Amino acid sequence: MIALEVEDLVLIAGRTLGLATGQVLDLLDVAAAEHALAQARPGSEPGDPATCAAVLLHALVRQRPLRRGNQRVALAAMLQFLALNGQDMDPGVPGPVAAMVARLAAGTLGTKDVADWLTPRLRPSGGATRMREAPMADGMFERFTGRAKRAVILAQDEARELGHGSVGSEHVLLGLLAVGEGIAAVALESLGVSLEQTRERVGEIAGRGQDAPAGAIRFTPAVSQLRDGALREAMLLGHDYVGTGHLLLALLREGDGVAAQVLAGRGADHAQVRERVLDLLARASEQASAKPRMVRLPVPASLADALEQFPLVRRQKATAVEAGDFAGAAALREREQQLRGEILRLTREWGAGAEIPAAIAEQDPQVRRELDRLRDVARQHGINPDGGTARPA
Amino acid sequence: MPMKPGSTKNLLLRLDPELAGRLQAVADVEGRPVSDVIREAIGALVEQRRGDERFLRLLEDNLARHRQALELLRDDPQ
Repeated sequence: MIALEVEDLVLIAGRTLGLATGQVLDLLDVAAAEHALAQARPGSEPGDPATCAAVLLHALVRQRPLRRGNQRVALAAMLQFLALNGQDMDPGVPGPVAAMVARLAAGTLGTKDVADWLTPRLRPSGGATRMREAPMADGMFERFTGRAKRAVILAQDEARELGHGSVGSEHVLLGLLAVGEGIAAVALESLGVSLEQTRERVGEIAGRGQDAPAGAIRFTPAVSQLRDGALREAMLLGHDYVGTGHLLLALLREGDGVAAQVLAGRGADHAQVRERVLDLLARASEQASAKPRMVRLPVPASLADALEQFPLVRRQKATAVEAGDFAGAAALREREQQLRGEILRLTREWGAGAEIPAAIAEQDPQVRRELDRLRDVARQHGINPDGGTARPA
Repeated sequence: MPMKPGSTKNLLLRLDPELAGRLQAVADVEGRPVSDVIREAIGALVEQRRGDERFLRLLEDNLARHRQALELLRDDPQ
């Protein structure tokens, strides 16, 4: 499932209410929006579209991220979510739709009621057969990230635009660029590979059809191989998801396909692209592992007070200097030095008594390594970090 | 973009540490509240999303096809 992000909601709200982005942001409670969208974000289990859409509508209507026009935007957001995931709601029932949203706002309807109401009113978009062929329907791409799924969906659109009756790896390359974000797009763009030029080149190599195909667009076996290749790339790197970067790595292994020819024609050396992707993937992994963590540390009241006063005194001193009150500034400087000494003393006493560094170090290997390094530095300066005086090395 | 009086609010967002650090750094350097920087960042993401032709096409289709239902909700206080 493709989920909505805050920026999507802002764009939808702007178009629905006829407002500029800044005006929408004035009306928006970003935290409430983020919370509502997070609730509606499908988990690892593939959910059915009606239930996911119902959760989204319920969350947006009940949490009211917009101070004005919230119900209209919530409905528009649900419709957009459905459309992005290949579903349309029957438009022939405006009265009941509005009534359903109003009852949801009043709290007389729940998520399940909405899902039950929606189910018979949904149909696959873009023709009855198109979504039956859609990649997300059968779990073929279930380990794919949202962006990677979006790239595959956009690959279908690219094939349609070119008048091609099936989706090949070259369309996936276009899909990766059309997503406009993610590791593949960043890597390709940094190497000078643009969507427009690639689209043109694919048209030259593979030709252009006369008309956009009306019915289903099937995947060629090359795309199945590409999907398997991307899974393999992810496994080799120890990743439990398949992102756009893995898809691009698999495309590079293709060798003689249209996508490979296009990349070669753009002067994008395969080894160079691969290196760039691996570098970006490594950075993304590092960032993902740096999860925010909270450690509760009880700080003595005297130390907390001193820490609070210190920046205040420094600011007061700066103000006194600016105002030409040099006598006042001198007194404040004395107070600042006094506080600094107090903070150092209290910190030392607190650390020695509570053995907090040891407690944290036990939980966090990175902190442990850093403490070991600091201990070494202390020893080099003749200080025994565990008490007493060490002999210089 | 200047904020209207009374339109500021507390923000609670899930930010990865690097992004939070960068936002804080921008805010410190420019002497602005972090919420103001976040607001600008969302604005930039919206502009980026405007380049997604498929997203916009589906949105326009939906708004046109469901115009009546959306109109019925126009007078709602929410």
